[in-house]
Amino acid sequence: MSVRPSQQPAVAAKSARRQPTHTDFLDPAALATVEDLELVARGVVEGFKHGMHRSPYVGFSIEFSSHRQYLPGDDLRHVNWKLYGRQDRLYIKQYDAETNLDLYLIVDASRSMLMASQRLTKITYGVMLAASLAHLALTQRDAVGLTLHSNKIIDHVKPRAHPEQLFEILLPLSRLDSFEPCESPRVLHEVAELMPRRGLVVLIGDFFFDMEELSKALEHLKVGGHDMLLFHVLDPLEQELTISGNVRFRDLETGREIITRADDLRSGYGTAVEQWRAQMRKCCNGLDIDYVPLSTRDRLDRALATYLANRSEMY
Amino acid sequence: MISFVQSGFLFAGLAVAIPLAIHLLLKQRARRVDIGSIRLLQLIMRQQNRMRRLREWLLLAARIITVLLLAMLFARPYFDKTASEANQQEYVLMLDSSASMRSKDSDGLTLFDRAYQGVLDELATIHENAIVHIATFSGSDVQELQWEDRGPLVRPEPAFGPTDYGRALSWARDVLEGSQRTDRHVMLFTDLQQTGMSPGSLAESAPRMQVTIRDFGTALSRNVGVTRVEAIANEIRPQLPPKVLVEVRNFGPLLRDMVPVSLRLQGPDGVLEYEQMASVPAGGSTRVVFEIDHATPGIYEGAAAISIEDDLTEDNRRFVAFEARHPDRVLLVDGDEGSSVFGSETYYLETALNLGKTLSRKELPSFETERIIWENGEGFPDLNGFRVIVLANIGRFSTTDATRLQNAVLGGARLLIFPGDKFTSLSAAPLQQHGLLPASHATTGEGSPYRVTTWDTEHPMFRPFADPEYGDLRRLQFRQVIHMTPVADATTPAELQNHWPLLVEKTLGTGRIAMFATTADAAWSSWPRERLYVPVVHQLLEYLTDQHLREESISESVATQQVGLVHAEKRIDVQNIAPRESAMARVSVEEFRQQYGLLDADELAELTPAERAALAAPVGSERPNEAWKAVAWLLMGWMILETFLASRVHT
Repeated sequence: MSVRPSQQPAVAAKSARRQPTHTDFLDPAALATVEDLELVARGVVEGFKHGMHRSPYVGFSIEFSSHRQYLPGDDLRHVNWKLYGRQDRLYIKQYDAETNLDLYLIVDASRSMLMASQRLTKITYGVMLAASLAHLALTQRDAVGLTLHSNKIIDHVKPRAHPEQLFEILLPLSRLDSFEPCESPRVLHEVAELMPRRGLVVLIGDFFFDMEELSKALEHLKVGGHDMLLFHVLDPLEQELTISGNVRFRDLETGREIITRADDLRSGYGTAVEQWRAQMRKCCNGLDIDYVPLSTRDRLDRALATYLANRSEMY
Repeated sequence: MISFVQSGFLFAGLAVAIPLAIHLLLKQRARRVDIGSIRLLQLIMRQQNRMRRLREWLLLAARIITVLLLAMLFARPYFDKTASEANQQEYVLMLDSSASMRSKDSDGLTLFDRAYQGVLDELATIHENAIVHIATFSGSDVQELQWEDRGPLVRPEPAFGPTDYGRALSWARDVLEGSQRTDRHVMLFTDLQQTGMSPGSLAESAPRMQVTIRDFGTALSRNVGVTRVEAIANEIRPQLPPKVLVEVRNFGPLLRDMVPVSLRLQGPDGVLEYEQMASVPAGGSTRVVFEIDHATPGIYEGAAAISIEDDLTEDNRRFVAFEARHPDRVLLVDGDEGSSVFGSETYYLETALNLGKTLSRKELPSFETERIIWENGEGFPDLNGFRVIVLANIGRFSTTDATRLQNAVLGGARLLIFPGDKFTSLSAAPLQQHGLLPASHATTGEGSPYRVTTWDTEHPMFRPFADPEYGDLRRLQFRQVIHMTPVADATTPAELQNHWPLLVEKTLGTGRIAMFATTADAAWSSWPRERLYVPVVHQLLEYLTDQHLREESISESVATQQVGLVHAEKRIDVQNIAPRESAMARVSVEEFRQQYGLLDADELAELTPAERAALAAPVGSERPNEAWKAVAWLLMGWMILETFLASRVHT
């Protein structure tokens, strides 16, 4: 892993190769150069918040903070109707922070996540994304838990809202060093049993599974009444087959190889990926799961914005 | 069926290994890329693989065919599906019409009759679409026979010329080299006479033609022929009559005894007939000499013959003609006998003039010389019959002798005067008075060597010395000469330095007088010992006796169409069969083929079609049925297809 948590975040921040800017923290390629995972997570969230003034989700967390006068254009859902009944004036409720949301981060750490056509592997991207989401959630006082899996559960951290929880989350993410294959989503059934309380489940992976099996696994996860968000992370090469000539493709999961001319397959492959993602989207939509296709080239704020939008819908 | 002019280029077809190697290398050289899952790739490949592989194979096939077409283009293909058919056949039938073909076999038919019948039989089997040339060959004469519309062939007559196979085969080769047809045959109808094997090989071009030899010769020859008839002496001298040599050669394996050899000549005095019996050994020859007694000057013509029964009767007689004449008589008048046999001035002259007779060299004219010593002026003998009178070192001369000499010169005799120690103005006076000196004699120069400086190269006497390579007259030098002043009507064909004449001449009546500036012996010079002495003396005497004007009225040649004596104007041409035609020894077919590097039908059959086609192809010419243009167009189209396929496969 190119990122790891730091015992002393302040010191770790100094050990960064260079001082990243807010914008850098949203660029996955730039983030991959930063070794401190906590710094990465904090940088991503800070960078994300820095540009959040345009976001429609600003100020609407779960925990009530104060009132302000209604202004045209405010969401009527946040009008305090009781107060209107008493004072005959419209006030908008403002919230401070969440206190009772459980965020389950389920990260695929199988071999296929080691794919990297450029510098950034899918697992690095996924880890940075998970770390950022954890940090963001903890700043909002949500409880954050983590499950790492391949074809079995590698590590599991129960959700807690304690400020030290970020370290608990980052530690297994940074310790990843062996990767097992994961050809089937059966492990997700086990994962589903580890989430007793209703919460927000975030799945991060490449999901090279049989669609039917995946559908069943997701359905199982959904049984707990969770809100679910699925980040489908692919390498640009996996998306568009950006390679030419004769290529011996090796399947990272199975080790099998095929030789072909990439040029011949490119157009058909692109279509197949689109169809696959469309199937994934359809499957997710059917289960009321938010489906977010990501490329390791995509900035992380896109994922965070999706997360926040999803969270806000819950409350 | 398709064949190739340059079949060697087909080896270029091995270059198909290049696209094959490219195909295999491209297939093997693939870089490895890790990917999360090949599931989708496999899915697409299952859909696309069939089409892609088809295109790859098509591309490979297109490339291989491109290379093959290229090789084929350079190999110049042509369609010879009719090669074995008659319209690709061309025949040259060579009928031996040499003298030896007149030889008769036991049935009384000549070899020529049988060979001609062989030609007719062969013609009957040749397809009407084949081109046929028929020719007879004899000596250097090859005559093509007209055979139009496959009508009856006019029977040619055998000739008398010698056999020359090299010439015949060359003629056939020249005919076939220009042919556009591929199946070429030469058929030789002959007796395979060994003496007809003229040197030379046709190995380079002969394999292009299939040569068939039809042998009509007889196994065993019993021929006897007259191979030489020649007048070995044709001058009429006392006790030495003209002689005619007749050579009879026996080519058979048995001795021929008591062969009557006859000579019949028509001479100026009528017909002369001679006969002798001769015995001719097997494989050898006998010479018979006939002496022509009481010969008179004139032309003798006739033939020598043998009366014998043998194969070839045409060589049993051989014609001859010769001219019998008296030699030119030269009277050498010497003014000093000398102290020894070498002492007289005319000794060297006489020796030089008789050299031709002594050496029996026909190219040297012989003279009949007679020498008298004129020490006291005893008087001339009868001057009639002497063609040249040579006066050397004459000291005394009477008016009577001068008058006789003048009459002889006026009558056509030639006078040649050499000076000497005794020759003075006093002795020259009677000659001068009778107009017999071409120059006045003033002083004698001596001491310094006198060299010949200029001479008239157009003068009949000096013409051979125009080129110094054949004798440089400037090498002659004389210690002593007389200084002559030519008379008015005299000419000076050669001069010494200071323009002193070396030779002065003039005409008198029908005669001619010449005077030399130095002696004919070694008294005043050493020139008799020079290599030029004999040629100069002979030239001088030939000129004076007008031998240079005498045309050779008799010639000999090898007969071609006829034998005998051919009279044309004042000339007689003696035409006889070449002696080697009488030799009936034969060669085997194998030897014949080996000599000329010929392939027979079996050897040709062993060749591959490509080799045979290559042999048959005329060098540098294009066949009318060549398909290279079509192949070139096909190749161009194919390359466009290949480019299209490559773009489809590799994009």
